Amino acid sequence: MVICFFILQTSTSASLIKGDLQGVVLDGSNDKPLVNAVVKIEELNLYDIADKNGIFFLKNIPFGQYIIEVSHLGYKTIRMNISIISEYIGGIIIHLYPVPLETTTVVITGTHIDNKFDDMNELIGVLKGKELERELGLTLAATLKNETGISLRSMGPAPARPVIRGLGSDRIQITVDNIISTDLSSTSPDHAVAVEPFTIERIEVLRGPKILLHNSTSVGGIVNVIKEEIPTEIPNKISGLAGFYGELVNRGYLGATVLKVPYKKLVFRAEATKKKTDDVSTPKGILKNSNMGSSNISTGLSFIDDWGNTGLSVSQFELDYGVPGGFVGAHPNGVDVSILKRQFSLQFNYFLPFQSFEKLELKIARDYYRHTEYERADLIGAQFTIFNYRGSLNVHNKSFFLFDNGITGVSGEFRDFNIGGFVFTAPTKSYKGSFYSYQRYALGSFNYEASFRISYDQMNPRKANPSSKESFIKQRKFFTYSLSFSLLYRLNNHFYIGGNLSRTSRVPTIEELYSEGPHLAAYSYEIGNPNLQHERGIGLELFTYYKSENLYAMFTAFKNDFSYFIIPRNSGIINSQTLLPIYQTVGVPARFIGFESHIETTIFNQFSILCSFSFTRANFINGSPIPQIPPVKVITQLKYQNDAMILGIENETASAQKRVDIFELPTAGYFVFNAFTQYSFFTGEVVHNITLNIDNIFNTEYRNHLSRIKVILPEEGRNLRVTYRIYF
Amino acid sequence: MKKIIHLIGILLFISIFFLSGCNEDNPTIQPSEHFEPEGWVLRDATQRPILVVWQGYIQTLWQGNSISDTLYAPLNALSDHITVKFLDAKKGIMNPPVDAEHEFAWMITDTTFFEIIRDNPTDWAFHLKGKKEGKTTLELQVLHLGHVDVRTPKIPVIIKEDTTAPDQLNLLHIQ
Repeated sequence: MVICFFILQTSTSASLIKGDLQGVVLDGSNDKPLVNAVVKIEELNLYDIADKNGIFFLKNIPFGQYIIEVSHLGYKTIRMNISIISEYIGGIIIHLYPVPLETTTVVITGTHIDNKFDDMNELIGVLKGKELERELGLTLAATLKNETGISLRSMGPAPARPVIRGLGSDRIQITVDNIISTDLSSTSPDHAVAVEPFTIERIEVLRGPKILLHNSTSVGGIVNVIKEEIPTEIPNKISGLAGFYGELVNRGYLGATVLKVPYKKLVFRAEATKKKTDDVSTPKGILKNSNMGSSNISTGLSFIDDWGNTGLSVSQFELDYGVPGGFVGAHPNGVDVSILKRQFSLQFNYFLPFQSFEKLELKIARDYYRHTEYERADLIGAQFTIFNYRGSLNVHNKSFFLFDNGITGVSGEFRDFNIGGFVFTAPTKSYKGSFYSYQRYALGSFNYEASFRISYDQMNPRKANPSSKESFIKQRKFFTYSLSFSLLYRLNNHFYIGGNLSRTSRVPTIEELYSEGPHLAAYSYEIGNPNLQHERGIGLELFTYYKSENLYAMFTAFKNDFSYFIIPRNSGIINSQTLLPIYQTVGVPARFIGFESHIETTIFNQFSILCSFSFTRANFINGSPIPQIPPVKVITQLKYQNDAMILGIENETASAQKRVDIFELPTAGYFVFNAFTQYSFFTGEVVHNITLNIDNIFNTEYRNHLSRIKVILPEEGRNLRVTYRIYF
Repeated sequence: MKKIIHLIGILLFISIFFLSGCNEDNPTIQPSEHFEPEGWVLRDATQRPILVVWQGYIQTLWQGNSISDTLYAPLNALSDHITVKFLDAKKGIMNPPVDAEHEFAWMITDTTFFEIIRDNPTDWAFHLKGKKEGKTTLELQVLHLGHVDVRTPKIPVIIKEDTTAPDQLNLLHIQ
């Protein structure tokens, strides 16, 4: 549960002995008023119940220090200290969050100048609480697929990865607790993301200047998963969650538990999940070899004191899954993939005793990742191992020079990428160093965000190979820089307009540089290009958003012009030895344009409508379409909500995608209907949340344009999903 | 401050402990050299080319002479002894790989039509033996530790009675 409240401090008046307290209680997950929330001053047994606008008013409170308790069914009760030291204290905003989430309490005193960019991102780029439980799928990408501007690239249920505004690969970075997750999911459609979604507390889709804190692709995106594997706050008792997830379409099930144990200034956290699914059922039959099984364990220990906190965590993630085969672009018999990931992380946060610099943050992570592809039980097709060491040192500043607050830091990474089996890519050691800063500033009606990132990358193939068929396999070095600037202007208290201008860059991956041979799971012959330059371009985005008590609306238009866009393309040539189609990596000019909108409105007291629209069009400079671009997608949702229950129906509509690259097949449009219900109840101090989803109610036959499986079978048929979680 | 320094020291010690573990011995098996010829030449017992594949395509003209794009299997009889050779980038003849990692393999689209008979299981040579009259295809492969390093396109094979065979000898006439 996230507890977040803002206290507007008023001036002291020594001549008064009693004061009034007024404020509003809001649902932290959607900023809607929480009717009937109870606000109570324990010492005085004085209370008020929030009205239909969430407003409470406590009168004639003697001056002094008190504890206020704010509670509501289905939300975590919070207690906070408050000083009544003036005749009237108003403008208090208290956010209560649905029980599932438990993150840092944030108390801001002073003028209400929280950043509007965060406000906007919180509304459209964050999945948390009951919404997260409702959207929860068996993979991270499946959990995010209905978010505005996000689509799902897949080759079966397990190897699925989010695509944002038509951009995939490592232009979209996946981070766990702000540390980049090591896996190979960005390099090929048959590779899975090594993150278990069930125990996620919150998912943030970061865009704009903040991206440059992690990655140099400023026009891409960061999917940041918050798990708090290293706790940063001390719970007041042993707490945690236990849960079960099941779905019919693949007879899949999952069990999970998370435990947090406080002891003085120490907090121990442990997590375990186990998941298993069979082959997926579609309206046209069973998708063979689409099963998966995974297990995930992690432990974390942290020490929290007035000076800051420090801690470490160790985790292991194992995933075995099938990649279906038997069609063009896949192995004839399918491939079985086994993944093992082990991570050790260390984190150190120290509050600095300076006026302008508030925190020093050190993160170190060491990953071991192993990925094996089996053609048969006794025949390994491909093997990859990664030994990855990365660290970052950030300084969080407050008021500094022109800026209100920000982060400046350095990061470094060493990666040893080993390759075995029937893979021809050169094993490579790579080094990366970056210096970056992100700052923001508010002045009157204007909010600014700006960031830069400068990076040096070096890739050393284990063996230089001047006799390579394609080109000289050799060491490569890259100096790159990225910039991003956003501006938001407040037209009135509800209406904002803004824009973003970015210069993006991306260093080619090892596969893009050095691949040279058959990729059996994708059944293609992949040829890299050791002479590639770094990817670069300019991104422009204009947006507007409106937020009032009953309406939230956001409209965004974007245009990303790449002067050098790296992409593997089907060359139309067949490799004469293996007879596989040759995919050659090239760098070419490309343009992405698009439009997104997201509207949520309350139509009656307990009914709300949501509508999101996403459109991307991408062309090479000669006007021909870029492959694997999602079609227009519209999500419409009607929801009824009371204190304990949510009921809703949802429609997902996608247009046909006929703008295809050569050798790429078009995809028909579709309408799919879903329904969901969520119910919460208490037994003692234990909160129970049950979510039921019926997906694809009419068993519609539809295909995802970004799925390689679409050539043989449609997407999943009718499905019933059940999520049951208890929080204690 | 002293406590913090001690704490950092302890954490660094623990970190070194974990950083030195958490992995396996490198399990990757480095691939050995792959066999990458540019073409195939199938020759009869007289060393005469009877079918040529060049850069993935079956040739109908080879060194100025027309050549068949089809193999023929005699019904219920063995064909001529067909040997497998390869072509390098300059169209020079290459011998098959001799190491134990590589082996000769094939895939018959419909095995009810004919079979492949080898005099010696390690030979890069074979006979065709027809089972019933008709037409199917054959793909020849070089396997490298179980994977296909090189393959031919599907070669048409016609199975018919060999009217030119003397007496009952299991010889094949390959056009």
